[in-house]
Amino acid sequence: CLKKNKYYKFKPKDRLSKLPDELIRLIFTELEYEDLKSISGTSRKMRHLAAEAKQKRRQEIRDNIKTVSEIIENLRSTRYSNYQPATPFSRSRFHDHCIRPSRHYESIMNYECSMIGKQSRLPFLTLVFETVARTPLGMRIVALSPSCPPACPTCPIYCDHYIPSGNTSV
Amino acid sequence: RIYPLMRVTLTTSDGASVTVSRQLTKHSGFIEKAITDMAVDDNAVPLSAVAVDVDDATLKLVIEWLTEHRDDALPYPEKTDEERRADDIPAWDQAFVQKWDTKEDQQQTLYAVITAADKLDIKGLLDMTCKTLANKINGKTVEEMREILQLECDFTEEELAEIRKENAWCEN
Repeated sequence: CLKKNKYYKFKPKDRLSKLPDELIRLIFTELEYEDLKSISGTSRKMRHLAAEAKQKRRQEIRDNIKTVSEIIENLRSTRYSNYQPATPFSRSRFHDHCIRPSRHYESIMNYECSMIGKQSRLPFLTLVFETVARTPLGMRIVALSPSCPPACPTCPIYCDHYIPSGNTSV
Repeated sequence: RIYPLMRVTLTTSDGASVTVSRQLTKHSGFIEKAITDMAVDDNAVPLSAVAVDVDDATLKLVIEWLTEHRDDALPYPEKTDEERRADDIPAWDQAFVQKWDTKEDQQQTLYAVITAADKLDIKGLLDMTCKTLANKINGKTVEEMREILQLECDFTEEELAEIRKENAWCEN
């Protein structure tokens, strides 16, 4: 039986907040992107610290995003073995704002495209996939549009015919 | 370097003294630096006591972990972001934590060990305990996280409404 801890007199509540910020940041590096979103809703301090971690994770997404062909190949090798894209996908890369993690495929199919309008639930998302390996892709579930929504002119998720010549990355 | 014959006396924050092998303390950046700062001869026995800002009960747990991991490679391997994962805690470590991380303990000991690992600069222990805490909240809702981490919600109703709106896309 352990002796009563005399030194670390954390209050019954809010022990996490009593840890140094650097330690909390370290713990946050172990969290998934959507868990960072969740913990940012617990308290003001956590929201502040989680914002930094989320920003870092988004940068990781930007830095490590896969090409569409890699994603589709991955998709076919996993649970969506019969998936056939309705539209030929380009070799373009994605903007982070075009990638949204979700722990539920169903919800992502009704995904709200923030670039188009918060209330515009668009049915254009026809591809949902999950990569096998743990990657920095947040939840590793990505929805992308094969239909090149004209309302999202800056979105790099284009079909081949929308890609300017030579522009293969963002 | 291995110092099989060397022992170090550690004095805890609550006045206890514990003598441990340098084979264990070599995993602690803090203790090794303290010894280096004392500029002792590696062959000198015993060394002067090193004061650690950790209480006796927590230090015993730290030493238990160090004993199990005494042969771990040093320096502790830095993992890239892609290699980072919270589900690779070794079985011994999991059992070690389960012994004292009980519901009744309310994570008091876990926080103490995390803090001790940080103060003593024991990267392997810090990594493992942070993962343990992260695993407790992975996949949990905001409310569940508050309960597990015993966080008090200090948001206004307006702020909460804004947060719910932000998170709506990934909620059930």
